[in-house]
Amino acid sequence: VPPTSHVIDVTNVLRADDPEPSLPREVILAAAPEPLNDGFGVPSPGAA
Amino acid sequence: VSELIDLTAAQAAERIRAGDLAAAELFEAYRERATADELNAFTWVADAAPAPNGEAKTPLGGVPVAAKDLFCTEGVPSQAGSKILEGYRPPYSATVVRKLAEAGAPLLGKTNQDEFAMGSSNENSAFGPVLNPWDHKRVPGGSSGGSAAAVAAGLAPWAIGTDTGGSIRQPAALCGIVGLKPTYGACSRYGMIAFASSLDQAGPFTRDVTDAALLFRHMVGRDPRDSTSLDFPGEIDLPRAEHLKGLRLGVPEDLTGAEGGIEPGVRESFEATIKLAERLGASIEPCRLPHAPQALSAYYVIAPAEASANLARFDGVRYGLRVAGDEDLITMYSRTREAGFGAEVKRRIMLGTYALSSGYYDAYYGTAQKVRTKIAEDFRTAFERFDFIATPTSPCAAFELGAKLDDPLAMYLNDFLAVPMSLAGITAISIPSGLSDGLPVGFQLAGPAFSESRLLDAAYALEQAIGFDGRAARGQ
Repeated sequence: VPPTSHVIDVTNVLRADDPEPSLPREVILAAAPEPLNDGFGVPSPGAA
Repeated sequence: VSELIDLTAAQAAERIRAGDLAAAELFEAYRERATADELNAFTWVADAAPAPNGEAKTPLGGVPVAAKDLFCTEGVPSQAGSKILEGYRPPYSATVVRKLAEAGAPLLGKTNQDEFAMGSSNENSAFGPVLNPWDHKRVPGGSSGGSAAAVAAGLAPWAIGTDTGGSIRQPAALCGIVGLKPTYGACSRYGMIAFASSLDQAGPFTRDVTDAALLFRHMVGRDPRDSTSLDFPGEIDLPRAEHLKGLRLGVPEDLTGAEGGIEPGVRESFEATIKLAERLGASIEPCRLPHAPQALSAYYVIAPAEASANLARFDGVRYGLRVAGDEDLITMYSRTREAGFGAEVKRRIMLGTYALSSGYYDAYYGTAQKVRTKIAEDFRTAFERFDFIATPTSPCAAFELGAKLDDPLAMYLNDFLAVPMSLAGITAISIPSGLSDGLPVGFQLAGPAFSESRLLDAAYALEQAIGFDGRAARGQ
């Protein structure tokens, strides 16, 4: 019995490789709990 | 106002389009009711009706829609019922929400749900449980409990929710309204906060089948932002069938037999509806879905596995809750997730992580996906002989708050009759078939992929014959 990979028959969903604008950085960062220097702030992985 | 609330969404849209009713007046009537919500069905309600903008010329006439919390809505709280997304206001809207707004159904409010759509009673919400409008001591079902309760109680003309393993159909059944789970791929999943990506589908909650067809018509379509979405083949017609002549209905004894644990009151209503279908001209025969009883077991491997991957993104970095401190990264992750997720979500993340762990993948996830193949084959075989499969939607009517909270397996069994269709990716609808001890009972019809138009038509003919009266839940 083959395992289900997808329930509806769809093959090779492709699109043209045309770049599109993304949401502006400040809009995305507005949702972050601790933005830092134009990026997402995280504690140092090596701390503690 | 009660006169306005009496109108179905389609009737209200028609009035607005004819110039007999202002869209803003209807919006305000529902906004007031939603604001005074005593069921805890809403997590957010719009401040005011949108400025008039030619609603009378839109297909949905400006009749507002409530959306389950997990639909991302631009600038509006969207937490999927979870504490871990506290304060999150997405910078974009889900495709389905955007399409409905463009068709003339602006957002009335966001509705309560089980956290990340995991639950069958709406008791797993960070916002607290939703009460069933038919009996405030009982659950509305889940996971889209807020959407179902809001429509049943007349706090919203119609609503959208999502169904992963019954989360539209079961609450629709327990609240006495119509719920449609579309074919997988019919509606874009873009902007829906994901639970189990191979199963999640958006669908309508409505007072009647005509409203369901009208709302669904404006939800479907291929979206470049969801590669699993598809162009819906053909038109979605408004239902008009008056009989079921020539229709072949199969009743799967594997699901409706003793194993299903169907309550006597539910069975009685189901059998009465089957007789009604026969009187309307349908032929009824028992059918087999031999692997369907294994659906729930397969589902509780597949859905948690996918959820464990999807929910990895909630890590306190990009959105929502962060439990801060000067600790290292891993400690921040685990403190945030410890504080942000509820018990059922944690249970499923652990189940799913275990099922996908190195060396166990084939034994659990791989095997469950083989069971899924067999279940889909069962349906394909059944649909060679039958147009639709009929079962009760849920084995039981609405149960009391707290009744199944300590027993996850008893809770999971609520979806015994709904999960097989989810795994097969096919469409199914729940319509109210009557009352059992004063509580609504749902009747489920399932059809092949993309048979929604025919399914809605058959459900409509049955609905007319059943003549279910939902006014009591609206206080009318």
